[in-house]
Amino acid sequence: MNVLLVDDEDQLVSTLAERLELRGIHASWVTNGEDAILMVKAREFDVAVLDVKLPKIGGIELKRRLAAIRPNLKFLFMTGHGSEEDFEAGSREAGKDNYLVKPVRIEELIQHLQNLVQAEKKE
Amino acid sequence: MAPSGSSGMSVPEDGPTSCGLQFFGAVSASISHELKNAIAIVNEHAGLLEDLAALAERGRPIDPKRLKQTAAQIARQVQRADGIIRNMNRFAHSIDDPIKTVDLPEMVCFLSALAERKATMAGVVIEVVCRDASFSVQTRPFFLLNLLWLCLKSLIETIPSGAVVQLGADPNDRGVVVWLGCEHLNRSVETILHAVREQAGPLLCALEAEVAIDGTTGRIALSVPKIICDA
Repeated sequence: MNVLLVDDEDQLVSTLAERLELRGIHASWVTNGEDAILMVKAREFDVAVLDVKLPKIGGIELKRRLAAIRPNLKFLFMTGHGSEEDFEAGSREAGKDNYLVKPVRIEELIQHLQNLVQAEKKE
Repeated sequence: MAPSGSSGMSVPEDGPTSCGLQFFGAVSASISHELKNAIAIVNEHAGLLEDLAALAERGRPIDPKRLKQTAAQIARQVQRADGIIRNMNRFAHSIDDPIKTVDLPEMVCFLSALAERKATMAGVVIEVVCRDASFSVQTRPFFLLNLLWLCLKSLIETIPSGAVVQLGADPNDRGVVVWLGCEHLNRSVETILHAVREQAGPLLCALEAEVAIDGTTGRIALSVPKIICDA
């Protein structure tokens, strides 16, 4: 499984990526929307995990732009807020089951990633 | 009775208060988000240590450098969270004294710290150019912080990503001028001024303050008296 992590907190995404790698999931990370777009143009990913609040290009807008580049790409949102406003925005875009509130439990994240990839295979 | 200001506007009884509640909410939300991020990073580092320990139990050696690095990163996040909480505490106490003598350059630095996340999200950099100065005014600290926040917020929301906002303060005959400058300000300065006057009318009155465009520099200049009349 190839996963792209996008969050403006570099220590968060780099450590999360390292932990996913230790579990056999190939994880790349970037800290902003522009780099995410370049990365998705250059490589194929199964799932993109996006922070809702990102500098310049927000997570919701980024999801739309990435989906236009790779229509089969699946999305998972995470946020530090956990506010109703963010939950509504995130769940509207990715479905309420694909929205995680930070701090994220790695097992929960992996479960969500696997569910998304398996759902695609069934389709 | 509500104070009357130099702008000649009448102050609604609850004007500054309701404006202040919105300000309090916005800053609290931003602080809680910052704190959540610091906690999330500590959570990942702790998880990584657990992962490495589990691997070691299965016979894979751990590089001590990796452990030291992770511990140092946890310590950095703890320091970051401590700084955020200090700011939160200072912000909460800014409402304690209705009128107080405040050091303006210090308040400008504090404002910059409170607005840092908002600026980062907009791709804007805040530069404080009066860090080493020190001069004070007797004013309503919470209202002044609120007014400065509104000016900075309007500016950040108007200028393009990648811009640098300069914040400064200078003493003058009346008291102090706090100014906000940006090279991209030219075209949008009137819009910002209009937005500030519309949102901050009650605050301008309560602080006996004036907001204008500095004709020479093109900056937004906020003038506050040395001593507020009610003091």
